[in-house]
Amino acid sequence: MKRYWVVIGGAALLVLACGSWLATCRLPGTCASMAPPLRWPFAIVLAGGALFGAMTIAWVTRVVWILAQGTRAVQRMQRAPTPAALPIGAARAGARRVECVTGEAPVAFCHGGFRPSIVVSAGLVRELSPDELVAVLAHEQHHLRRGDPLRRAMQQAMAEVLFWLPVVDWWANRGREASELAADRAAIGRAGRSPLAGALWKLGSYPESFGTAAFAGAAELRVAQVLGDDLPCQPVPVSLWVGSAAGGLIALNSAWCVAHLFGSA
Amino acid sequence: MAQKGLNRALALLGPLEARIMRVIWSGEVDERFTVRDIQQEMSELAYTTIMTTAVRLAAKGLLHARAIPQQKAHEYRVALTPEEFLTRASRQDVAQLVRRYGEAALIAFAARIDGLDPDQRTRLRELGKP
Repeated sequence: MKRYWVVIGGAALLVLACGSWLATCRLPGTCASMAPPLRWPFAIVLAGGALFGAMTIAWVTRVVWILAQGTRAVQRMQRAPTPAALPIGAARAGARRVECVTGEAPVAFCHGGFRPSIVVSAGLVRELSPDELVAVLAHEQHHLRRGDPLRRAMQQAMAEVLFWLPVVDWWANRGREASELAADRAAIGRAGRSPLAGALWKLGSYPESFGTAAFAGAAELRVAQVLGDDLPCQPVPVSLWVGSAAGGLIALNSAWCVAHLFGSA
Repeated sequence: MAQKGLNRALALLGPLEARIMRVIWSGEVDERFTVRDIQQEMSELAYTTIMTTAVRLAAKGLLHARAIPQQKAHEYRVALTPEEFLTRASRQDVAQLVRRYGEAALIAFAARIDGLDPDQRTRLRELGKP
């Protein structure tokens, strides 16, 4: 899905840049020289405002879309009778708004924008020991308390909308890792290291493991934390700075071309 | 409650599939039925349309199909009640859901430990033992 947006966004940028160049510029990258100097400030403010407005609308729309997709999918799921172990585990973990859905696979997640809730599968309750269940519920409760589903949707949408700044995607991934590590610390505080390690082991080695490629890195950090190992320092790679600088320049150039269009209109 | 379950199950199907399964699940046809029986209840649909849809529903596991000896037609019967269909769909959904939306819409307790080095795996398994 992300690649799709990158391709669409890249194509749109290309069309915009080419269109503005063909319409107004004699040489690529020299649009600025074509605008009457006195109208530059107005044109730049207008183009910058239009760019910012379009990005903001795209961002808000994407956030709403992400949250709505998740909510709609969860609503379709079949609710299961609450297993006896679940309310006990939820009380021990201090977890609120916990629902159980049918499903053999051990799954737990937090979802929802403004009133998040925790969903666990019946298979999870069967698969985990009582202490491991407390660890998982405490982990999800931490996400719920901080409103992480909304935060994560906002970060994800921002990374997609600002695809031409790869450093934003890097920042969103680090944010996701940080929130997972914080939730694990909350789980350790509630249940201890051993139950969390047991839950990570069982869910991570389940035949249909749900971790995605992006989560694989978070898994390494989470395991390192639960084992008490040092967490690696992760500076922003130079290539990301370079890529972001190039992306920023291209975007600025496009905005400049649009500004010229406005200015010469 | 049964009506709600029926509607939720029908919502998971395509429009034509849902119309036909509503007739079947509502008991408007006998336990064993043919395409002709359904057409009598839904005369606005062509025979071939119902037949194609019934084959698709059988492929999805909602209907059992059996060839009638010495005839070209098939006899069908229900394979899943609405509740059973919902449960089956949900079992598949829960895994697919996390796989599909786990990056953004859901904060899943997801971890993939196959990328860990053997030492970390061993230590994690040891620490996780009760």
